[in-house]
Amino acid sequence: MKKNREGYVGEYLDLAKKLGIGIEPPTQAITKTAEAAWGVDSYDVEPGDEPAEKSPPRRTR
Amino acid sequence: MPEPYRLTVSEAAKRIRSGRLTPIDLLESLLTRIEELEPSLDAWVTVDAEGARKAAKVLTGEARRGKLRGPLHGVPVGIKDIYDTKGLKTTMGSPLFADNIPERDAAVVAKLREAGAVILGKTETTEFAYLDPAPTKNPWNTGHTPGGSSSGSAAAVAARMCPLAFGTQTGGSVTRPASFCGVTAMKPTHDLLSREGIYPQSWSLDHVGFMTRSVEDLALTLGALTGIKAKSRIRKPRIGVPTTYFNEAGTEDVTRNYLDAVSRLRRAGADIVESKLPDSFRFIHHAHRIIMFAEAASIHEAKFGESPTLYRPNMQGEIYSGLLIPSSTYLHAQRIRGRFRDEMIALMGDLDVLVTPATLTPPLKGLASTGDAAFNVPWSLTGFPTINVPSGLTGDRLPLGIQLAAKPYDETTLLSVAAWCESALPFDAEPPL
Repeated sequence: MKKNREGYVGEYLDLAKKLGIGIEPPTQAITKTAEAAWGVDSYDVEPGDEPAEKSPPRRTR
Repeated sequence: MPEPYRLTVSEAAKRIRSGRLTPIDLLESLLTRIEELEPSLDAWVTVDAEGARKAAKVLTGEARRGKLRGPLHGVPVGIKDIYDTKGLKTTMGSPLFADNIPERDAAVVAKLREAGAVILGKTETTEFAYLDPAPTKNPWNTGHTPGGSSSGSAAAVAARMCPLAFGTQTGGSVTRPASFCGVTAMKPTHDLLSREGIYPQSWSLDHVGFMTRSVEDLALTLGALTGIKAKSRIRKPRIGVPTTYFNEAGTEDVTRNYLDAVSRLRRAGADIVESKLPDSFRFIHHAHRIIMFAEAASIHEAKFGESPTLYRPNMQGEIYSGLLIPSSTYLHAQRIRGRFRDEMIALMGDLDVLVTPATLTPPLKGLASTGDAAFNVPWSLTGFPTINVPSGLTGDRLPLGIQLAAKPYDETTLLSVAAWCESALPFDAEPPL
């Protein structure tokens, strides 16, 4: 089951706490990153466009 | 003839070719200008006066004998301080590299030297080309940020300290500072120019880019590096205008200037086409953040583990956050990126370019923040080539710009349309220096 936004943020902050990360602004950055992870994971795409190094397709006309 | 420091790349190169100007005279004029303005602008980490004089002297002799190395013969260039320069300190804006002296030139720097350019020095960058600001001030108002991360390059070109400077962009680090400083800038397609010898922020998003004071100079520079030329003339460009986000997310003065610029382009004869952004657009800023943070964390993990306190707060946040991102989320972000890129290529269809505002805000007050890259992120994520064209001033006389984006590897069309837009939106204001 997919987590909601709060689930992502809570999980990231818990993990950060375990790793001893608690000072500002890393905490803000971690919260924003957790929100981004939630945003990414909430959009359904199929595998096929990775890997990361793939360049844009050559000219189209 | 105007003072040599005021010449654009094209004007200076033309005069050098015809023997009306020597590389050494041009360099000395720029060095004097830097000496006058640098204390108030902090655009440079290193001005290599000695190395540049040596190179300019050789190039002057060659020009006198009729030998020209290339289109940039004798033109001084500023290089962002994350490009390796042989024998010249390269700090990445970080104390970790305070004494770093590379043994080789970055590939682009080597190409510039082959084309006859004089490496004038290294320009200020935010730490590792991320968000922790450089000391550079905006030449239009030193109480405002010049933008980042290529802060020194944009300020130096705007202040007439050099006619051409190089930067890099991972989010908005070429377009944003160029717009904030009122200069033209180009970010070619993602892998068109080599990133070899440039310290990475995020390898799949990093782009080489450069700044000048005219579109003609952008074309000349790209031509010198790649052989690519602009189309001779474009009569009626077909320009896409997104119907959402870009016309509503910016500040009031940004949006007003943008809509006015679009009206002026239409009146000048452009075919303006409303373009609906794809559904995946809603997720791309998230995807960009995930990819950038994960890759940056991977790049810095070892050094950060040894010396975390030598990183500034924003970099710390980026690395800590990046280390928490699961590989599945990173790959999901890359898939979104792939889908968005394909959808944008389809959307652009028979358009020549899309036009948007260059920045979300005018140059922000103070130096604590370099501004927001939100309007530039789509093109860093897709790798599409972009150009910033200055489009006016705020009521406080701070620069604003429009951003043109073309299909990948269509730099020829992009340069031609940008030149057309530059003619339709004349901008001859200068910083009050």
